Amino acid sequence: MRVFSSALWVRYLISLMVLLVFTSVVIPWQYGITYPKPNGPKFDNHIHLQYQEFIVNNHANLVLLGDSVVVTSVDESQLARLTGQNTLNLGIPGSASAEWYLMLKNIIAKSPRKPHYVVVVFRDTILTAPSYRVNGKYFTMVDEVAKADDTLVVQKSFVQQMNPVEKLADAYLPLYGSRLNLRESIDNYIRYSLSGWLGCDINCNDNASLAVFQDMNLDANLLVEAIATAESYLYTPNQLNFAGQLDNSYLPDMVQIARDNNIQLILVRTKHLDDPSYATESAALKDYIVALKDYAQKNDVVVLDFAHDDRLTSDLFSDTHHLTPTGEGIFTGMLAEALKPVLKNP
Amino acid sequence: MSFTSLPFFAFCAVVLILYWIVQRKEWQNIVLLAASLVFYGWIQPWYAILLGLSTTLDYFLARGMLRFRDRTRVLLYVSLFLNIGVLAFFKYFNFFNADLAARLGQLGLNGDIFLVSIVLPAGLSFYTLKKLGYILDVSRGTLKPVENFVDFAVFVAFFPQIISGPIDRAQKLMPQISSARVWKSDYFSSAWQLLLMGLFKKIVIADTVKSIVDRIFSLQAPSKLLVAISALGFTLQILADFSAYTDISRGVARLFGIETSENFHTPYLAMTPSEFWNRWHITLSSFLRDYIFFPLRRALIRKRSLPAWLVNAIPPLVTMFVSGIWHGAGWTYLVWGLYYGFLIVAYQQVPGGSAGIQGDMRPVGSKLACALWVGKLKNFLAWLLMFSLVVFGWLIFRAPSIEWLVKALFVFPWISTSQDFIVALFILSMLLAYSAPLLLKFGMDRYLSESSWWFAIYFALITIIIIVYINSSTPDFIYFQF
Repeated sequence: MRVFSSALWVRYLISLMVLLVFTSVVIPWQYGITYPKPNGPKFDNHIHLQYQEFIVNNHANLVLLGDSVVVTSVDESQLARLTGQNTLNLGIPGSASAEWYLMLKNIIAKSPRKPHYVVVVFRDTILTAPSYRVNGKYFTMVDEVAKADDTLVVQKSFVQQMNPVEKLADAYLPLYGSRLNLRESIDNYIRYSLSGWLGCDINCNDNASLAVFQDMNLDANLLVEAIATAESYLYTPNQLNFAGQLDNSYLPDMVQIARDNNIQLILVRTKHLDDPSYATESAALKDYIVALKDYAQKNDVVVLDFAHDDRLTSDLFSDTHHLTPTGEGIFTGMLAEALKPVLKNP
Repeated sequence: MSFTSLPFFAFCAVVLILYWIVQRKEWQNIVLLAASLVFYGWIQPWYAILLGLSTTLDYFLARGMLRFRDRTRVLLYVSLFLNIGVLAFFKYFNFFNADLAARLGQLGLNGDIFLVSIVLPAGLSFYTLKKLGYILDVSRGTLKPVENFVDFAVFVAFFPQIISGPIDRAQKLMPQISSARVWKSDYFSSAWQLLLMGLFKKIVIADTVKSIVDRIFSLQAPSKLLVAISALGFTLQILADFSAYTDISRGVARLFGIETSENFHTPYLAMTPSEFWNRWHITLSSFLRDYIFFPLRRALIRKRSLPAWLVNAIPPLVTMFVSGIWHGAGWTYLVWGLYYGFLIVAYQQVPGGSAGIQGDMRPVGSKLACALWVGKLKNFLAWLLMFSLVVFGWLIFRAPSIEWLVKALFVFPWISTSQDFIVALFILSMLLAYSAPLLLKFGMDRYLSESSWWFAIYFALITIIIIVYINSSTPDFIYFQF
């Protein structure tokens, strides 16, 4: 086994110190950061206000929030026709509870014309998983609806997940605190350089990636596997502990915002084929849902549970989570029927 | 507990402190055994129970071989049956289970009612081979059975090795485990660079390259250009990933005063398949060579009726077939193993055998500078051919299915759209960027003295890059669209 001399260890430490000092000067200057840096990422003040324009222009009285499941499961015009409510589907593929909370807080509650009903379409434990889908590319999506003063999101989705060492490094080590920016710069340099020299700019490069890797090109089975792997986070013992997760989550904040703004919050639990029936569901998840419904009832939140609805047969799904166009029509009808007793006349 | 996670290093720190505090060898081994069982049981408590039971059984079977010499063969068969049986059950049950369930489904029966899914305990393939090697050596009389149960259990369960090797022999580890260990600064001197390189290869190279390679292999019908470039990407990914685990494992073991085996020795510089396997996953290769290849070859040579070509062909084919199924339960692994078997047989047919192909310009050695340019060209082509065959081998290994592989080779277009070319360029630039630090290290190892400042600067730089990449992975995978 190769043994390096202790002199090399000393030289390594000297080199490392020099590099750390250098980066500690250059990085704060480059990114305009002061140290110690507050833990967690920093959002910019820019938010996508076109969502508010949609609400105002459509006179939306019922707004749907959720991820790609709501996009593929609910036909807003059909729902509007069946319920008699102006409906707007604001589902965003890849979004999760942090983004839904921010949509409610920064977009819907601040809208000049507030809807009476906000329907959050969710599955299983996603509502109480604040750090689900907030890192990497998801961060950009969250940032689109977050303001610089959204410290609650920084706290619940990021800082809460850090261990003490990470918090220390994030605050006092510029290299670590700015690693997301640095990583992005490195990735972009590698990604765009070679094709850039050949005349293909960033847009050309991104469009090529989007075209090659679009969903329809992916192997269906592998897509299902990838979904299952990512979703497995929602079924860890911590996530299945409703009481333990509630205060860490955005659910109490969403309930409060809805209450303060006279908005009726409606939670709609969707079906997926990993747990298509009550029998296949784990005992922990059953307990979680009972606790969620109990909490909702105490806080005047309506819960509509379609997780084991036999009318949604497996042939109506395009994969484990998403419905086919036929399934979308059937589910929209079912949702309208369930919503009718809850909705008042517009 | 992942090897690159903070809990793992915190765990190691606690165990190391306890280990060096207790000083006496017996207590050190108890600390190591307890730590190994905690580490292994952390994944699933029943894994540790299975490990404990099988270790106890093999300990007594080996002891029994010493005591009842006339029953050695029976005891060996019991051990082989149990070890291989457990491995086969856990590793291949789901493979046949799925097949059986599908067949039952065709008959209108719900296979899931009859069959349950069995989870393969992590590291089972590795520690089973360790125990098998030990039992086989004891039965042959080339190794004395270990007297102390704790020592034997530490040998089997040694936590830096249990998940992904190296598959060290008892002959290498047992003398170290059984002797007194006193802290030396050399342990740290040889460990820190292994740990750094391991973290760098895993966090920076393997995980990054994996994200894009996985994407291509998730496509239903990628063009041949993308398949080729992603096979190249997987070639880098698997070396970085696997050798990273080995480096971290060796580094941690070294901190406990235990020297474990090197598992990778510039495998992509091999010029023949046999040489590749002498450089790739070395501890597995030597296990297969000593316990399958040589005994089988000896047995075939003794059967004088067999033609020479069969005597030469059967051992590599069988050995690589076993290697294939050891790597995983799936047709792709099986074909990959056989592919290497056939390659070895084919290379045997080249005039002059392996030496003829390697010629005078082997990548390691002082003859490099002296070789004539003709020899250099010949050897460069020989290397290029072997490297291409290795890349193709990884394509078989990584392909989602045999059907996909056949289509990739014969049905998918060379280039579907011009966008394929742009994506291929992006992946190529990624591969160049992420393989550069490894090539640089290779050059430094060859041409610089160990006390050179350049090593210090190199290790400092990779530390900086590790800090940037740690916990910053961009999960830019297919799930993004969901």
